[in-house]
Amino acid sequence: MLIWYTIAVLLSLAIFSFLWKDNPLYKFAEHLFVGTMVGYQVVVVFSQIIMRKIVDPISVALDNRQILTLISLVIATLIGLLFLARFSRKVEWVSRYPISITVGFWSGYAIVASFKTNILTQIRGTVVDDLGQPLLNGHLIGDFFKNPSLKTLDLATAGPLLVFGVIVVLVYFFFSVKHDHPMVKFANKPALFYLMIGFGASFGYTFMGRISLFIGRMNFIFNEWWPLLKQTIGG
Amino acid sequence: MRTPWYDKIMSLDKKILYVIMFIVVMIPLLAKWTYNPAVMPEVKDIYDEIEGIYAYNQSHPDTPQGILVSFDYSPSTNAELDPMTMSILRHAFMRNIPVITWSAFPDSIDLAKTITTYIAKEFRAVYGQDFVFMGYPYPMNAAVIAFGSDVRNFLVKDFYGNLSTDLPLLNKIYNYKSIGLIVTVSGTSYPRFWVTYANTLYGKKIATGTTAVSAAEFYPFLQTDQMIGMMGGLRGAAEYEKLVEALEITIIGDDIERYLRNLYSPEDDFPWDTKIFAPGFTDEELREHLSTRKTARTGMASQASSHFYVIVLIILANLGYFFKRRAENKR
Repeated sequence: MLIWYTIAVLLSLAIFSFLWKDNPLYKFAEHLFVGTMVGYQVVVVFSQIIMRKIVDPISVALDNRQILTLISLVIATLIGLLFLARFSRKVEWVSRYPISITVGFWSGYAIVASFKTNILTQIRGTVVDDLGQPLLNGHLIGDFFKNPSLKTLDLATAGPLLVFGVIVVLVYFFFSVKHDHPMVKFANKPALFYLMIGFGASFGYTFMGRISLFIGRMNFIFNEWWPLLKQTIGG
Repeated sequence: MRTPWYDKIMSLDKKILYVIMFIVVMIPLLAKWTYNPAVMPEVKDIYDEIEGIYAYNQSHPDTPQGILVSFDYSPSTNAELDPMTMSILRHAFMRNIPVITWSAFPDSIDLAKTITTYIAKEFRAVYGQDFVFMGYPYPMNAAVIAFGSDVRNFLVKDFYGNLSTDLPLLNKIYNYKSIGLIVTVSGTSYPRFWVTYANTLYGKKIATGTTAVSAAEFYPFLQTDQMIGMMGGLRGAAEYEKLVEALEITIIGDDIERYLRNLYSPEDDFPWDTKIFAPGFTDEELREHLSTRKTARTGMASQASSHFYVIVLIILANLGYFFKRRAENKR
């Protein structure tokens, strides 16, 4: 185990050496990684796709004498094999059949679901909250004035701020009207403000993500490999 | 002529910044400082949902609900995401909730298998009864749809080559009706995919654990309840870790090391399938199992100090820029 851990540590350091400058050690680690990944994926694709998705179901269908299942599996496999026709210029056109089946099926399947997920439900989320109450809720604003506190302020402003933000950012990206139009001009500044907050949050999260990866590697080196090395050397 | 201080700041060598960052990250890591995060509602919601499944299973022992944990990430993001899957699995196994796991990428099969069995071993979970690992369900979208009717037709065998119909767990839990929660732990846009198909088409509850980089992308789905909760980055992992630790103390007690040491005895005549995991822990394994209980919180201490360092750098750089421009304007 120590040998593998040590190899992992050396490769990690080789990758980090790029921070100093590009060098042969970094190149070696990079190429080794790409080569290993490709080799690993070839084996996995064979064992997890060819065997599990073609050979296993066909043999189970044969054992159980499920003729219809067997026929459908064989037909599907043959159609799938037509993809390989792309390697020959002469019969390349045949590969369009499996492609058209795949694209046709998935377009039909995905269009409604994607539209509902990414547009309809999101629009609804800009109109009402998860309890079905309108986001522009006058009662909540009234509650704030009756009982001013941070909580009531948050409840009163969260909805209107969200609705306002969505509208001004949509207007900002509406390029069919000249940007000197009064409506667009009005929306420009607040839209930029919203966008900057969005980019700032994304940048903060991105930084956190990158540092987490570095912490993960350092944790491996100093809290896993180093104790193991000490234990092995110390007996 | 002496170089002004703002010019020095503006032309600081990147290598110096990297070395300081290394030191800033290493100090909390070596000192083993841990961070005690406040638990955010979006993380607590996932915890409560799993507790809800536990309560349901207590009142419906014959028709239990399970959870599907989808390892939708590859080893490149495991530093952030492993602590999430570990905490979720610990929670589920501790509550005897049936668990189905699979891996969305070919390069994460080993990772998913290792983590699933690693955590299952901590709770004497039996393969086939308490958990199953389905390998790489290619193509994923077909697998997600297959769960709408009977996943056993699509995944004829599990990762280990057992027939799906021979696994007791899959005979109880084979479609969405008996899945209480889908947890997608991902460094990609897979959570959106799960929402599109499993939530929109089948109404399943989706929780996600995601890398910090992707977290901002999924907040709109939380607001619309298309996702019931989210663990965003290492911080989200640390929060869930904290919740699970509290539960562990309530159920198992303070001394986890003793619990793990006594979990398997030589007289144990339970037929453990050693192909899945060998019963018992070596000292080295014990140390690892204990340390993985606070990986995210240890990492967050380094994270906090590195954030502080970057804030200082941003302030210094802005000051440098401001004074440099002022000096140029004066000239």
